[in-house]
Amino acid sequence: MGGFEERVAIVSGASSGMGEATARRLAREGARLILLAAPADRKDLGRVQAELAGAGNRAISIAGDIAEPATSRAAVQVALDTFGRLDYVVNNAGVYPERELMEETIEFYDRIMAINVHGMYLLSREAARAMAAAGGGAMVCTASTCSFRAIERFAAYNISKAAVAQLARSMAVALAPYAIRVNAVAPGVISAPATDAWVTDASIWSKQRSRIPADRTGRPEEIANVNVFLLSDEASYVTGAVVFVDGGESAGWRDSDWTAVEQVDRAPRLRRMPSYRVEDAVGSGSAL
Amino acid sequence: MSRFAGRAAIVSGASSGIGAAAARRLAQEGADLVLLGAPDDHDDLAELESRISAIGGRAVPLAADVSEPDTARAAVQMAMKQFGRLDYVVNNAGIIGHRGFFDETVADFERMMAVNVRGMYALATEAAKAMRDGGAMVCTASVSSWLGEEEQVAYNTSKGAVMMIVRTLGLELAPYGIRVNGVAPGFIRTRMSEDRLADAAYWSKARSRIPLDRPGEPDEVASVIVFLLSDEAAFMYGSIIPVDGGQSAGMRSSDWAAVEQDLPPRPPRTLAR
Repeated sequence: MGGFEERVAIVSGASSGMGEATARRLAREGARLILLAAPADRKDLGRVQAELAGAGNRAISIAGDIAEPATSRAAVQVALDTFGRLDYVVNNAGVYPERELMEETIEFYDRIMAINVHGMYLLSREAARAMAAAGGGAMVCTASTCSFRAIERFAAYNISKAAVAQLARSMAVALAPYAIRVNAVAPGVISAPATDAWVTDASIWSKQRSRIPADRTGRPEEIANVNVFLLSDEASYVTGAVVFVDGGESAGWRDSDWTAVEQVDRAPRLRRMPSYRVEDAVGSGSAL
Repeated sequence: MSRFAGRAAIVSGASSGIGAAAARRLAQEGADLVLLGAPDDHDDLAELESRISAIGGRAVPLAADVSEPDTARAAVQMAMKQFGRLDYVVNNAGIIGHRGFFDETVADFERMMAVNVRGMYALATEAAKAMRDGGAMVCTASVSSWLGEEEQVAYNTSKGAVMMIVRTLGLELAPYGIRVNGVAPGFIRTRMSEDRLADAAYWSKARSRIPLDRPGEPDEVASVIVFLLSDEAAFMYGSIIPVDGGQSAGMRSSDWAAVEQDLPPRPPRTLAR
C-alpha cells in the first residue's frame, strides 16, 4: 500500500479483533502507533504492544475509558509528544452487549452510547485538531451492518452504530476543508469471541449463514485491509463513504443449497462452473 | 507490485477515462488484458495497447458494441485464447446523456439501458462462466445509482439498475468464488464530464456539492477498482464504494465567496495548534 512509513496513527479498541488486526497491519506498513483500549483490556493491550515492539515497531499503549475526554486528550498528546505528529485515526473502540429491549435500562443505553458514539466523537475531535494543524490526514470509523438495519436484542447497539455512520459522514463534510478524509467500514459477522459463540451454536449459525452470501464469517484481517486502504492515498477521492465488508450480507441472501445449511456443515457452500469451451462462446447465438 | 501477474482481465470502456486508468493500473501490476471499447474507439484502444506494451504488459484490443451479447462472447473468447484464463472483469463501459425528461426519447432511454445495463449483464454472465477458478469483478455504478440528478432520467435509471447488478451478482456468484463489487464515482475528470467542467456556471454550483471541492481523477477511481479486485477485499461481496469526494455523504455550506467567484479549489484550511 505504501505511504505509512514514519506516519503516526491512533488505534482505539486495539487490544483485540479488528482493532488489533488493523494496528498490526499499520505497523507492518511502517506506521508508529498509539494503541488505546479499555482498562479492563489492559492485559491484552500490553500483549499487543509488546509483540509489536518486539518486532521492532514503535507502539505506545494507553489504557483508558474512551468515554472520558481525558483519554482522547492523553492519546493525542502522547502522539504529538512522542512522535511529533498525528496522521491517522482508527476509530474502532466499541461494545455490543445483547439484551432484550424491555430489559434494557437507560444506564445500559447510556453506557453503549458513551463508548460507541461519544467516545468516537471525543477522540475524533481531539485528533482532528492536531491533524488540521499539521495539514491533513485520514480517519476510519467502525460502523456496522447494524448502522442500516436492526437486529433483535441489540437496540441500543443498532442505534449507536447508525449514529456512527452519520458521525463519519458529518466529519467527512466538516473536515474536508482541512484535508482530512473520514470514512467508515460496516463489518458484518467477523470472527471474535462473541461471534464465535454464535458459530459454534448450530441452531444459531445454520440461520445466520443463510444470510451471508459468502457463507462464512469474516476475519479481523479482512477488515484491517479495508481500514488501511481507506486511510491510504489510494483512497484519495473517497471520503464520507460507508463501506460494507460483510460477505454480502447487506446485498441480499442466497436461497439454495439448504441441505448443507441444515446439516451445519461448516465449510462454505462452493460450486464450480462447468468447463468453459471457447468454441461454445463463438457465435453460439441465443444463449443470452 | 505485481499482485496480478499471470492473471487475465477484461476491461470494458477501456478507451478513455476510468476504464483506461484501470487498465493501465492492472497492466502495471502484471495483469494480461482484453481492452474492450466502443466501435469508434479503435485508435484510443490501439494507443492504450501500445502504452501497455511499452511497460512490458500484454493487451489485446476489441472495438465492438458492448450492448451486443456477441461482443461479450468475443471478449471472453479472446481472453481464453490469448491468455488461457480469465480472472477479473472491470465492467465499466457506459454512456451518459443530459436531456430534459420531455426531450428524452424512448430511443434515448433504450440505448442508455442497452449499453449501461444490458451490456454489463451480458459481459458479467459470459465472463463468469469462464472464471472457473473464481475471481473478481468490479462494476462502475455512480452516485446517480441512488441520488437523482436533473436532466438525466435515463442515466440515473440505468445506474440504479447497475447497483442491483452488483448486489444480486454479488450473492449469485459467491458460491463460485467470484466476488462482485462496485464503485460509484462522482464527478470525475473524463470525456464524459469535460463539457460540464468547462462550464463555469455549472461547475461553480456542482463543486458546492462536493466536500473535497474538486473533481476526481480517473486514477483515483482506478485505485479503488484495483483494491476491490485484489485479495485485500476478500470479504467484500455486493458492496459499492462511493468515490465521489464526499458528494453522497453530504455537503459543505461555507466559503461561498470562493465558489461564487469560480476560484480554484479552496486551499486546505489549517488550524492554529
